Amino acid sequence: MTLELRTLQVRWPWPPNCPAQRLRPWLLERLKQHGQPLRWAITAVEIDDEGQKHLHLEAVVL
Amino acid sequence: MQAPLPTLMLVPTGIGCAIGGYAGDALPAARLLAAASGCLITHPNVMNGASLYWRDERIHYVEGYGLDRFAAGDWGLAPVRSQRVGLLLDCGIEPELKQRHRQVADACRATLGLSIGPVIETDQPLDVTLERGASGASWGKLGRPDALLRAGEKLQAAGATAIAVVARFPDDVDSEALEAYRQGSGVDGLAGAEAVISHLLVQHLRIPCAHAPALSPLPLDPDLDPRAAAEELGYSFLSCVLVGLSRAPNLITSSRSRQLAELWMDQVEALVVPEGALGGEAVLAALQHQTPVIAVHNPSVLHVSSCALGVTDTVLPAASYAEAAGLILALREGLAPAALRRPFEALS
Repeated sequence: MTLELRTLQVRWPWPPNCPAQRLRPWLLERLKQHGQPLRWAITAVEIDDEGQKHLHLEAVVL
Repeated sequence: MQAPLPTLMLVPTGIGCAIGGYAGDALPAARLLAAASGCLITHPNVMNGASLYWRDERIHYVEGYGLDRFAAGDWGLAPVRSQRVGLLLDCGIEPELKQRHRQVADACRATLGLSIGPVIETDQPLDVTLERGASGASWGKLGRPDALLRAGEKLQAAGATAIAVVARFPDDVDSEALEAYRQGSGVDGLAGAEAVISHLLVQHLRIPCAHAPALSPLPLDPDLDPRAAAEELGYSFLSCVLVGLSRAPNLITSSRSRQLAELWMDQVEALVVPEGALGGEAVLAALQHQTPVIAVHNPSVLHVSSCALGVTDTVLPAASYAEAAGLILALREGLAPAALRRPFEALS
């Protein structure tokens, strides 16, 4: 069995048409592109100079 | 008193919460919420006070990965009379420290009557490393996750229905972060790696698991914060884990028809979480499924609030766990929480 745990820190634009109630499936889909999510959380929400919201995530994936 | 109001209480691990960021110091809040709700589902970070613990029939002890799956509606919980707790020891622990942990297990068998065993060591040192995210939250990894899972599989095959794992963590005696934590102003630097270990086991084995770190004893600190003091009572943090797991509910991971005593997320009527920690998977799942969320003032390094997520209209704020307990009682009694606040708007 070969297993490797990787830590991720990412910043993704928050799509305006995705309310918080629909964030979980959207984030899981994106996280799965990096591996199997084991533990993750949004750790900050940032608004840039143009008013675009960004989500900061920290995660451990397999 | 009305029927229980199943409530989920989260205090995320390793984010430095003023209440619950130390050694089981959210336990009084959990006991209060259990009394208010009659049924509280929470996780080891809330309940584990190293040598200190509290057992309450109304509190269900569920590790964080299982809790996330529960909150997502993927898994259910089935209360049990007792678990047979297998002990998984990292072979990287020094012999004397390992012996101390075996003695804790024996003490829990002899003094508390718990069913513990067998004991298995990993075939490779787990090689735990600690990390800190940009947010300030603690994270971590282990170099040999395969060794952890092999040992877990052996324990399960040998009849363990739950697993307490003890991994050797790096001693960090002289670090400023440890000093800050012990003096009540820092993040628990071990917590993130602990969560990763237990998440990995639960994801793989689908049985209750929880973790205690093995560390060398620390020198006396005369300025020790009371919230961190429970970790300095003995040689190990294992007893609370064994007690918690001894009656942890089974994880129902198949789609068979539900049994009467089981708990599923659609029965949960409130989730209580620190106001800046709304970005975890369980909270996002609760928002997704329209479970009422109570956000409690409990400062941490995170600021993912109802305002940041744009959900101020659906999240109930609480200035303290005492107020959160009042809100739970109101919900349990069928009172609209808005009736307890002023100003009180007329219907439009």
